[in-house]
Order: sequence, then structure tokens, then C-alpha cells
Amino acid sequence: MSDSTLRFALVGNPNCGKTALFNSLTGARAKVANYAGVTVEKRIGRLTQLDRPAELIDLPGTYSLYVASPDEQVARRVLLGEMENEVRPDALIAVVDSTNLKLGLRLVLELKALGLPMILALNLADSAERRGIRINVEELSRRLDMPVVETVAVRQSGVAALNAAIRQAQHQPQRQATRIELPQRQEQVEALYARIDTLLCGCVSVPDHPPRWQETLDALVMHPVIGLILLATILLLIFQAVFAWASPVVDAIDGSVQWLSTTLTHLLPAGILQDFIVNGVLAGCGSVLVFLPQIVILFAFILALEDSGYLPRAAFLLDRLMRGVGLSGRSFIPLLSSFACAVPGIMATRSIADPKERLITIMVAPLMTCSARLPVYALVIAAFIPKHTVLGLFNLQGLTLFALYVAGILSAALVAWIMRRQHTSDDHFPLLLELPSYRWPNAYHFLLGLKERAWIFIRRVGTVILALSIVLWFLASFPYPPAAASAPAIDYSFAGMLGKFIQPVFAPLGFNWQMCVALIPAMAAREVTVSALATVYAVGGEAALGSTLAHSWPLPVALAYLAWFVYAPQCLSTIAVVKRETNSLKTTTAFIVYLFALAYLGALATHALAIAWS
Amino acid sequence: MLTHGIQNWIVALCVILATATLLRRYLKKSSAQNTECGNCGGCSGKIGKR
Repeated sequence: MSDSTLRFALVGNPNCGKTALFNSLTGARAKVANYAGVTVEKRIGRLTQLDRPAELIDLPGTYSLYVASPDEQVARRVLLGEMENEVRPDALIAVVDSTNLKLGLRLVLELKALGLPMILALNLADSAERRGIRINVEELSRRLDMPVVETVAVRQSGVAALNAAIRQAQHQPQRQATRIELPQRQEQVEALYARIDTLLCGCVSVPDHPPRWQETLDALVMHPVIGLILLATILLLIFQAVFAWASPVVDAIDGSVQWLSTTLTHLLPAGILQDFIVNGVLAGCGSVLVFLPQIVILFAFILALEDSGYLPRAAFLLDRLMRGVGLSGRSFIPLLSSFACAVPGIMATRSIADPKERLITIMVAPLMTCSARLPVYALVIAAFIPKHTVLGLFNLQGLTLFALYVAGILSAALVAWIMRRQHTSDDHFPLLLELPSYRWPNAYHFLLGLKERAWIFIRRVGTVILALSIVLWFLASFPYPPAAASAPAIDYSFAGMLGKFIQPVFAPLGFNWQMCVALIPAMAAREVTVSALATVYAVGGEAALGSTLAHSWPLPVALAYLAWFVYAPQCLSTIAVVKRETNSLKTTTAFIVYLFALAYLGALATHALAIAWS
Repeated sequence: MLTHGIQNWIVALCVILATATLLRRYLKKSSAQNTECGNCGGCSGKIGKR
């Protein structure tokens, strides 16, 4: 990068809309949500409307430059020029939540002391207006001696004015930096807030009470009993919806895959190319693609909850319960993110200040059921669990899926409890988490998020799953069986040899060699096990594959297979991110060994119990 | 109509390409020091620059 590049940094409290502004200013599409701690690592984008090349750095949110958690330290180190291989920013764009000016201005005053040219963006201006908060922007700008712009980042409102202010700021010289005093004593903190009160006096008017409906809703949502019932109901609804609502679309995609398969079989001459396309490419990719509706429904709920402001309240609600197992509400958001994927979940642990709690959260995060497990669970559940209605309300398949998620959560609690006993700590970090206002999910962000999720899944099917399906088809098809062979051709193939070689290890769990073959490519991505099973059984489409599995596997074996997937760390990306975040080969090895051991023991126990039960 | 020889060549090429893609993908991932999300595709935290 050239030295003439201007560097602007976006700084502000957590959850004030920095990343939404970053997206608006640079055209990026970084993840945004209505809770603190979504951004845990700096991001860089390009500003294209200035006279010189310029970049914008989105920093993780922080309340002060004097901080404890790793994500907040990123912001401090970048701003003070202490980050290795990182040039200090030339100017700052401070972002403040207009509905909580007092808290935001504390950081603004600290930043001002750095002596860098600054612009203040009063974000969430629409929410402030709805709440009756009146801000005299010109007067505030005069008192702070910096340009002040009102914005609504999610609607791109005020972004043009902010861009104009950025263009002005590029020519401003730096001022003399002053020494920043850490307000250690109570009086110093009070003096700082008294200064903020003086700043705001006369140019900001705030109504006495927050909206009453928010208070009423909080009383219900955060009630120790009603709140927990509500949380359980929401989770149950999600898993019911994943099965019940997805069925028609799943059947339609499955039918299309079947039709395409039949058509190509008729169109192409019998031979290796037909076998490759129908049983390799189409069976492999089609068997995973049918789960797209379920992934979309799961993420529709996750995105809506993220945007609503409900999640931090659930974190408070669960803080007491999580303390019982040695974690706290601070672990809730990383663990919840792990339901989508363990990789961002593990990265989100950077917001946890206590290193031991952070390590335990990293170790248990993969036990939360990620979306890659959904196709595996959905396939096996649809094949083995009848579509009965329980208590006249619940779908048995949905309940089984819920039970698998609960099994992961309870196992994580047990592991955390055991690990906390091994690592006793005298440090006490009480949960301090800002509760955002409730908001209706922004339709644009919601649909964009859903589109991105669907596209990521489709792209994954078209890339890694397609490539693995092709390689697996090759391994399952060659070498050809000898002329006088009596067993199925796949028995003589490389895949057959490999499966039979490792099958003795899994024999106590009841796994046959086909299941063992399907476990190998699942190391790259769990859902590939579905396409691998389609390839080794040479069937395409969910219904056909499910029917084949139902005839080939006894129920205890199917349940053991599900138990294996609850625990097994079959995801190279997760292992890589654990290594990166812990920076310890020993911890990463312990992580892999304990999860595989848990998977083996879990599957063994499930198999034995299911046999004893039947 | 494709002869058996051409069919064999097409399939062999696809298998080689798929294997190379997988190798490249995982060699690249193991050497990456600062990837945003591990490229697992499981999160929506991807950044696209305009």
C-alpha cells in the first residue's frame, strides 16, 4: 500500500451501527446485528470518493480506550499506533448511538484527546426522534469543535452528508495530542460525566422515561420463569418450522433432481460418462441441495432474532444458569453464533475478558449444532423417525431435531462444568452488557442476509461438495470388479477397500463400511456425508436415499450415527480457527482428541442403549 | 455420439480438476494466517468490496 493512502477509522461503542456505516461508506457487506460484539476484528474497506486513495478501518466497539477484552484491545492498539505492521489512522469517524449520547460521548472525549481530525456521526437518528430526543446538531458541533452529522446507517440516510464531511476532513492537519488520563477514582469518573452533562446541557433534550412498551416487554422477556418458557418456545418453534414448513419445497427440489436424473439417464448413452454425471455429480450435489429450504428457514429465524434486540436479553436471562456450569452470559452470544457456524462463534469469544472462560467457550462452541449438521440430521430423521404428531401439537421429527440440539447444549454445559473445576479462578468478571432497544428487523438487511446464506450454501454445493462428490465417485467406481465377481462392484473399489480397512474401529458402534467411507470426506464439511452416502449407495435424491438407509441400517445404528455427529469435530475450518485463536498446538490437539473421544463414547452408549431398549 | 475413449478422457479430466481444486483449497487454507472467517461458508461475515 502506498504511503499517500489516507486512513480513516470508524470508532464507537458496541452496537451503535459502525459496521452498518462501514457497509454504506465502502459498499462492503459485513455482518451487522442488533447486539454488542458482532465485530471482533478490524476490517478494511476502500473509500473511493476522495482526492487521494483512502481506506476505512472498521474497529470492534469499545466503551473506552482503557479496556480488558481482546476485541476492545484491537481498537485501542490501532488508535494508539501500537498495532504491529499497522499504521496509525490519519482521521477518525466517531459513531455514537443517538439514543445513548452520554455513554458514547465519554469515548468521543477520549478520542478527541488523541489530536486526530474527527467527525462525529450521530447514528440511529430515527430511533432518537421516535423517542422524543431532540439534538441541536450545530450547537453540539460547535461545543465539540468537530463536524457532526446525523445518520441512519441501515437506511443509508445521512451518508451523503458524512461523505462530504470526510472529504473536508482529508485536508485537516493533525492537532497536538494530549495525554489521556485514566479515570481510576470514582471522583474522576464523575468529573468526566459532569463534563459530558455540561456539553449536552441546552443542546440535547431527552424525555424522562423510555417507551413503556419496551419496559413491559422486558419485564416478560427477562422474567426468570416466563422468560425461560418464552426462550424454550422460540427454540421449539424454530425446529418445528425447519421440518414442517420446508417439506413442500424440499419435495419439489427432490422431485426436480429425480426428474433430471431420469432424463439424463435416457439422454446419455450408457457408459462411464452417464454413470459419472448421474451417480457422481447429480446424486452427490442433488442430495445436499434439497436441504436448502431448511437452511433458509433456520437462518430466517436467526437473522430476525439478531436484528430484534432479543439476544442480549436472553444472555442476561441465562447468565445465572450459565454461571452454574462455570460460564456467564458473556459466553451466550459466541455460543449462539455457533448454531450458525462454530468459526464466527469461536471468533466472537474475543469479547470475553476472562481468558479461562474464553478458552472453555472455545472448547465447547463446536458442541452447538451448526447449520452444516442440519442436512445430516434431516436425512437420518426423515428416514427413521415417523411423522407422528405428539400431544396433538408437535411433530415427532421436529422434536427429535430439538432433542439433538438440546443434547449438544447439555453436553457443552457438562464439559464446561468439568473444565471449570479443573481451572478454578479467583477472578470475577460480572456480566455488563448493554441492552439495545427492540427493533423490527430491517427488511432489506433481513432479505440480504437470507440471500447471502442461500447463496453461500448453493456455492458450497457447487464447489467443495461437487469436487468431493467427483473424487468420491471415482474412489467408489475404480478399480472395476474382476470378471467373475459376485459382490456389488463398489466392494472392489478404492472406497470399499478404505471403508473395510477402517470399519473395525467403528464396529463397536455398529457402523458398516459404507458409513465409515462417508465419515472421511465429512472431515472437510459435515454435510458432505450426505452426498458421500448417496454415492456409496448409488442413489440420488433425499427420498430415495432415505429409503435405502432405512432398509440398510438398523435403528440403533442410525441413532449412533446421529450421536457421532453431535460431537465429532468434523470440520477442518473449525480446527484451523481454534489453532489461530488459542495459538497453541497443545490446546488444538486436546480439542480434537476430546471431541472425537466424546463422539465415539456418545455413539457407543447410544447404540448400546438403543439395543437394550428395543 | 461420444466414443468410449472421449468419455474416459472427459471423466478423467473432471476427476483431476476436482482433486486439484480440493488440494489447492486446503493447502491455501492451512497457510492462511489471517483469514476473516476460515472460509467455511457458515457465516455471513464476508466482505465484498465495490
